[in-house]
Amino acid sequence: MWTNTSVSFITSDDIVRYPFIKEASDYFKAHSITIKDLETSIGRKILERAYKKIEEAIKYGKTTVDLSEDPEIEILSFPVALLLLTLLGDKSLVYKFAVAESKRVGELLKLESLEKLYHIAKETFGWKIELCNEEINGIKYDVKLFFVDYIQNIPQSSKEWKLVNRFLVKGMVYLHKSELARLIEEAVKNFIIKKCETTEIYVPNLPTIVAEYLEKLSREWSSNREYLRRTVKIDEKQVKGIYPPCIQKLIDDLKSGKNLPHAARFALATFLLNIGKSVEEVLDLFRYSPDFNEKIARYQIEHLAGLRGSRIKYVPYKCANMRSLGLCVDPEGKICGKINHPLQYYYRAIRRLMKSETKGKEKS
Amino acid sequence: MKQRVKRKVKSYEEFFKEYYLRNLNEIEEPTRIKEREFGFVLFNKEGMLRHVAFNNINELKRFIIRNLPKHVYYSSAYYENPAAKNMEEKVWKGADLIFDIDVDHIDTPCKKEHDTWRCCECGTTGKGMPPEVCPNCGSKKIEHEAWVCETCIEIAKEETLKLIEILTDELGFSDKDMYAVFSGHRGFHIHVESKKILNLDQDTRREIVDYILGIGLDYKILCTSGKYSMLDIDIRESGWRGRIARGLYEIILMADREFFAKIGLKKKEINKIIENKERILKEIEGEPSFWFTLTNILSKGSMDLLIQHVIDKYKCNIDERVTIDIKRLIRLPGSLHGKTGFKVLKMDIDEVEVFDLTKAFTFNESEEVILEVEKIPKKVANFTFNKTEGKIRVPLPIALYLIGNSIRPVKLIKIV
Repeated sequence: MWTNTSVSFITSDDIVRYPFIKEASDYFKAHSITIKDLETSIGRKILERAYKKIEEAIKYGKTTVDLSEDPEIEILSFPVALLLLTLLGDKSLVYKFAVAESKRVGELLKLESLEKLYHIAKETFGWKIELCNEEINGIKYDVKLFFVDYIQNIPQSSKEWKLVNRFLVKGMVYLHKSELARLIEEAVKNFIIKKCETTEIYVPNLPTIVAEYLEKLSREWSSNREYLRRTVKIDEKQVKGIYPPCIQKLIDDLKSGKNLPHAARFALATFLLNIGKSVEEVLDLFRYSPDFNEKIARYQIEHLAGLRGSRIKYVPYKCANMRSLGLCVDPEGKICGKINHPLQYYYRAIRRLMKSETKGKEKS
Repeated sequence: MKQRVKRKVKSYEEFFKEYYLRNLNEIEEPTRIKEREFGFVLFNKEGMLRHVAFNNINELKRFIIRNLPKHVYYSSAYYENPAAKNMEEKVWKGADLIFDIDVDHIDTPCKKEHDTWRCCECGTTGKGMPPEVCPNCGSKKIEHEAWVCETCIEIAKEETLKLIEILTDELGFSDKDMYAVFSGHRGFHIHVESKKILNLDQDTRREIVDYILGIGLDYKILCTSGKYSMLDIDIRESGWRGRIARGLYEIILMADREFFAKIGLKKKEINKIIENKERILKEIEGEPSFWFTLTNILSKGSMDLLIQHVIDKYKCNIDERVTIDIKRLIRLPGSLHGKTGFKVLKMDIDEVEVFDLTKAFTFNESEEVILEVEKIPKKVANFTFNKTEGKIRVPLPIALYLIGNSIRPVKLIKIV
């Protein structure tokens, strides 16, 4: 069953370990299974394994490869896991799984040969990539990657990865093998997210067994979320520095009677709504505004909260947009550190606080 | 030779009509025209008419003739349903990569000569770039009158050529992937139309912008190596490494005490640089460039300041919002800029260097008119006035520019 892979050094093990590669999807195509097949005994096994994979992501933030069973089950559990995620349609769970799965893959990729990484980059992701083995300014590089492929797969926003800090000639970014592995890891994450977001599935009669698994998954995920929500109830008045400096400045400006421009109001209101403040609480803050008009302000805040109009709850600007709008007060990241969203700052501060609280309790 | 036709006095709008009737074929057809959204600003109508779409260039031309728009825009994006009213229904399918270079964002020396501003609240006026708030009353409502002159165009060209060099040498685009457009007033747009970049989202476009503007550039990562993080850049290199090396070389070459002090170098450091100038330059000129003396003189902090200055000076001044926006409307080549009467002119990349404003004139310079003006700059575009108030005799394209762009009344008296 493995002989039809296109390149000899892609082994059957690779297809199990890297179920996203082109050779694996060729394999899925050859063994096309339908949703109905999931009701068979082998189908149930695949479904169970797919569920477990997602559960691992929720509980431990990392998936595993189970080789104790038939490798076929392990391989097919990947597309079935994506199917479950797509059917469930919860963006944050998709993200959680994508990160967990790519983390697992990333650890294995680090150990792979340059040739295999090159092969995956080129064949699976279609990157424009060249092996180079060049030494420039005393540094040896292994590959050159087209900058468009590079910028679409930069892991996190850190200075080292920024295009402006890379050696770039005629559109090609020079990379070490380990960096290529990391970029592929990111590409795996993006691949999973895109796959789950863009695949449209319409199943008129969902098999009961699949529906059951979906329900189980939904329960598992929401109890996990509930736990998080419960732990984030902290009396903010007691704590300084819980808001990112940009938001704090807007609050201070507002309280000192300054008239905030439109974008600043949007940034502030959406931030507060997103950390769980009520419309009333946000409204109270905006009373400081020199041109406060309760009727208009209430309407606008309710709109941002998703209670009116399009029923979309608005998300606050990310750091890059705050910077472009001139609302960022720490573009160098001296206070904020490596974050790319103001909400991230808030959640980190909360987490730090919780840790110190539990430590304090332990001591007492 | 063209025969001179005796003309009647016409309104500004009627000149647009004349242009479009005679030059309809100059309207450029955007690639995949069916998938583009168009936007128009009409004379005597507030706001922009958006969400317009055409099946082909003839439909577009017919629309232009029927409506004689003041400004014409089309989307850099391709949509499934370009005429749909909201983004969800439009269905975004990709967008060209656009760069905007506009003298509006560059503090040029000539602005002090031709640009003015006026506070709408208290009437305070001033020259040059408008302040963010009125220095007298603090109001943000500031009226701005911006003019273009030959210096502006030269500066815009220089920036554009710098950009083109980055796009080709560093980002690897070919001349075929790109074209340039004179915006119709004080700048240029570079359009990159290539499959490679079509699907880039805002974040990745921002990464390109950051590269061009040098945002987030950390020379300790990019320009140093070895255990002691020594500078290892060479003046012959391309990319930011070479730009920084050449920038440092130029600064040392000038060796201006005042300038060094302004950046924030210490007195002792400045003295040492000037004492060792020849030696430092020789080292940098070497193959490869060598930075030993300079790094020894400067503290880490001073080196940071110096290099940051070089980055700011050598970056290419693009308007980042335009490049990041994947749903932007941009001026249509072949249409007229509604405030200047100049043609929005498409050209090959290698034509930017030889561009001059007269190429964007829509009417013959030999046609002259008499205008009555209240107060105008001494010089606009390529034309110097013999007086700045009262009745003046000027070429027709200059007259249209004055009428369209002045915030004070300009009256067309007679066509000579």
